[in-house]
Amino acid sequence: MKNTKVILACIIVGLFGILPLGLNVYQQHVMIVCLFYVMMSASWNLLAGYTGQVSFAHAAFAGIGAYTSGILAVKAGLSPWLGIPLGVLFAAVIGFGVGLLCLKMGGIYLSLTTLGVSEIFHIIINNEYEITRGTMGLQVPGLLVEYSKTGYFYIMLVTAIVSLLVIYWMIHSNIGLNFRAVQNDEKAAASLGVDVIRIRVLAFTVSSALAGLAGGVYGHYLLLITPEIPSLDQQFLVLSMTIIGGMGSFIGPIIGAFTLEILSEYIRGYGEYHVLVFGLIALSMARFAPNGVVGLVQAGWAKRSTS
Amino acid sequence: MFLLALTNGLVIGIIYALAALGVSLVVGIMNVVNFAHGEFYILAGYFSYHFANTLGMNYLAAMMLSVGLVLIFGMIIEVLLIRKTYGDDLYSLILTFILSIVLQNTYLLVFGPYPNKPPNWVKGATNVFGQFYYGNQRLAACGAGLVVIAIVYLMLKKTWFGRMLRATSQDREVAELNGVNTTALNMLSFGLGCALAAAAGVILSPIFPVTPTGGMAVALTAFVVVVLGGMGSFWGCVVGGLIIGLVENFGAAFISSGYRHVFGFIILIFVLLVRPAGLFGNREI
Amino acid sequence: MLKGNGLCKNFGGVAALNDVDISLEKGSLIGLIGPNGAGKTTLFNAIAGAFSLSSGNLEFNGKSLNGKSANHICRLGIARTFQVPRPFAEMTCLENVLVPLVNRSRVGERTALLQEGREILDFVGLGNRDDILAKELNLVEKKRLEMARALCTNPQLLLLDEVLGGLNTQEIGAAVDLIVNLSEKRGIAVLWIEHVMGAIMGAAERIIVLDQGEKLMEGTPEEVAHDPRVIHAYLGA
Ligand SMILES: Nc1ncnc2c1ncn2[C@@H]1O[C@H](COP(=O)(O)OP(=O)(O)O)[C@@H](O)[C@H]1O
Ligand SMILES: [Mg+2]
Repeated sequence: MKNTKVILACIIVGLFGILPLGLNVYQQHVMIVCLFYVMMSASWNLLAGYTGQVSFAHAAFAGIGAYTSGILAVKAGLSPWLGIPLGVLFAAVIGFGVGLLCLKMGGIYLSLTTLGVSEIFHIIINNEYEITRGTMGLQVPGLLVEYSKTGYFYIMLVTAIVSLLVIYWMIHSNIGLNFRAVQNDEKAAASLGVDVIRIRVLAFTVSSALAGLAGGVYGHYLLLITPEIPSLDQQFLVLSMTIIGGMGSFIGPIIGAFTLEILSEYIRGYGEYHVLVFGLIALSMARFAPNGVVGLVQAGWAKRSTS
Repeated sequence: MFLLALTNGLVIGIIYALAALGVSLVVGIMNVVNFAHGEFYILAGYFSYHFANTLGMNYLAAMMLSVGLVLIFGMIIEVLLIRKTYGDDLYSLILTFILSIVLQNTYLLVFGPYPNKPPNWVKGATNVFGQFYYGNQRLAACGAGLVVIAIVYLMLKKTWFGRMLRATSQDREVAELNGVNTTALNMLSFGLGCALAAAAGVILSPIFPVTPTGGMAVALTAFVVVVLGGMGSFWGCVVGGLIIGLVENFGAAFISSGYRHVFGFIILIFVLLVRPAGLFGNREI
Repeated sequence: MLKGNGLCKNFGGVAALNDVDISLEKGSLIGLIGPNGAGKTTLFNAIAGAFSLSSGNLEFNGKSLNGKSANHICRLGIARTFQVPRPFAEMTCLENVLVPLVNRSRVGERTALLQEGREILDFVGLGNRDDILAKELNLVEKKRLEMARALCTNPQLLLLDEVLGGLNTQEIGAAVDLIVNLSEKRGIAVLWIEHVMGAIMGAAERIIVLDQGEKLMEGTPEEVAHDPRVIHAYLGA
C-alpha cells in the first residue's frame, strides 16, 4: 500500500517533469499559477483542515513573503535567491507573533484577529507608497538571468514539491497526530499531555512560512508585486480551492487548486465571472458536501464496497 | 481641532455601534459570526437608492421597505445556509465568508461598480460649539442611529420577545425545555441581525455611498467593536463603538490619518491581551 | 502524594467548591461520592488543571499545581477521564491512545508505541476495535476508551469520573476488578467518582463525601454508609 503510493507519487512528479515539453507558453503560465495555488491551499489546509484554525491572513502572509523579498531587491539590491528565504523567515516570525497573540483565544477570535492582521497589512501597503508603490505594484527583478517560462515552471514545481513534502511529513508524524487531537477536542488533548498552545503556534508558524515561500516565488515570477497577492479575494480563492477539493485531506487542496485555476481560465473567456462562479460552487459544496470532492469520492467508494 | 475630533469621534462612534449591533445580537443568541453582515448593509443601501432615486419613492418609505426586504432575505439565508451549522462556529464563519464574496460579485453584476447615494434627508450644516460647521445629514444620521439603538435596547429589556432572546442566549437547553421554539427564534434573530445591518445601511448610505465591495470595511469595523466590547453584550457594543470611534478620530487628527483604522486594531489587541473576553464579556474562553 | 488545602471554586455567584481539603497516599483507592451537583467533577477539573482555583493550594509529590496547565499536570503523572466521554471522534481508537503515548515519551519508536497502544486497548476490552473511528463506538466503549487513554499517560494518580454508568452487572464486576488491579498491582493511586454505590463501597479503602461544594465527611465505607449526615444528604430533607 505504502509502496504503491510512493510509486504513484513518483509517476505524477515524473509526468510533471516532462509536462512543459507539451505545453505552449500560455499553458505553462497556467500551470505555474496552479502550482502557486497548490502551495497556498495545501499550507492553509495544514492550519484549517488539521488544527481547525481558520486564518484569513494566509494571503497576507504570501504578501509578506513577496514584499519582503521584493523590497529588499529593489531598495538594497539583494538577490531574490536570498530575499525569498528572508521573506519566509519574516512571514514565520510574524506568524509566530500572531499565533502567540491568539494563544488564549483560538476559534473565532483567531479568525477575526487574522482578518484584522490582513487589513493592517493592506493599510500599510497603501500608506507606505514610497516603498511599496501602493496599488501600482512594485517592479522586482526575476529569479532567472534570462526569462524563461519553462525555467520558472521547474522552480515552481520544485518549491511546490518541497512544500508538499514538509506538509506530508508533518501530518504523518507525531506533530500531525497532535494537530488532529487538538482539532477534535482541545480540552481532552490537553488532559492527555498535548501542549495545545505549542501545537497551535507551531501550526500557525509553519503554515505562514509556507505561504511566505509561495508568495515570494510567485512575486518574482510575475515581476510585479501588487496588493492583489495579499488581498481578501486571493484568500477567498485559496479557501474555496481547499473546501471544494476537500479540507482535512492531503490531496484535496491539490485537486481543488488545479481544478479551480484551470476552470477560471476557461470562465475568464466569458468575462470576469470566475469569482462569482467559484463562490456559488464553494457555497453549495460547503453547505452540502463539507468534505469536498475527496469526501464525495470516499463516500462513493464506501457505498460501492458495501453493496 | 480637538473639538472637531471629539465630535467626529462621538458621531462615528454611534455609527459604529449601530453597524455592530446586528453582529453582536447574532453572536450572542446563536454563536454565529455573520461575515456577510456588511453585504446586508450594502444591499439595503442599494435598495433604498433605487426605491428613492429610480422609483421616486419617499425616502422614509424607501428606507422602511429596504429594511423589511433585507429582514426577509436574512431569514431565507438562515434557513438555507446557517441552520445546518449550529454548534460549529467556524463552519458558519466559512459559509458566511463565501456568501459575502458571492454577494459582492452579484452586486457588481447587478448594480455596477460605481458608488450609489440615496438622497439626503436634510440640507446644510450646523455650527457646532461656535467652532466649525458640521453636516446636518451626519447629525441626523447620528440621531437616527441613537433611536435605533434605543429601540433595540427597549425591545431586548422590555418585551416578551426580548426576554425569550435573552433566555436563549444564556442557556439554550433550558430555554428549549421551557417551550421556546429555538428554530423559529434562530430564524427571527438572524433576520433581525440582518435587518439591523440594513438599518445601518439605509441611515449611512446618504453619507457613505454604497459600492459592491464596501461591506467588508463595515463588517470589519463591526467585528472589532463586537470583540472589543465582548461578544453578545449590548452595552459592550455601544461602548466599544464609541471607543473605536474616538480612538480612530483622535489618532487620525493627531497622529496620521492614513493609519486611522490601525489605531482601532491596536486598542483591540491591547484589550484582548488583558481581557480576552472583551470589555463587557463574561464568557469563559 | 496529592495534597489539597482550602480548595475553593466559584462560578459567578455559585460556590461549586468551598474549602475542601484532600490528601491521598501512593497506591490508595479512594471513592468520591455525593449527590448530583455536589462539586465532584469540579474537584477533578481543579486537580487536573482544566481551570484555575478561586483559592486554595494543590500539591503533587511536593510540587505545587497552582496555575499549571492541564498538559503540564498530565506530564507530572495525573490522568483523568471525563464524565461525558470526550474521544477524538474523527480518529481511530488506536490513534486515540497513540496521542497520550507520543506525548509521554518523545523518542519512542512508533511501532513500539503502537504495540503498547494495542495492548492497552486489549486490556480495557477494546481489543478488536483498533481501527474503528471513535465516533462509531457506543457509550460503554467510549468510556473504556477514556480509561485506555488515561492509562496511556502512565499516571501515578488516576481520576475516574463515573466510569461504571451504563454497564450491566457483569461488566461492572470486570471493570471494578480492573480498577482494583490498577491500584494493587501497578501502584497507581485512584480517586474515583461513582454513583454505583455497591461497587465503590466494596472496592474503595476510604470514601470522601461531598455535598453542595463542601466536604461532608471522610471515612471507611462502613462509617460513611452509616453516617446520618450522608443518609440525609442523599435522601434529602
Ligand atoms: N464550567 C462551569 N460553569 C458554571 N458552573 C459550573 C461549571 N461546572 C460546574 N458548574 C456548577 O458547579 C456545581 C457542581 O457541578 P459538578 O462539579 O459538575 O457536580 P457533580 O458533583 O455532579 O460532578 C453545579 O452547580 C454546576 O452547575
Ligand atoms: Mg459530575
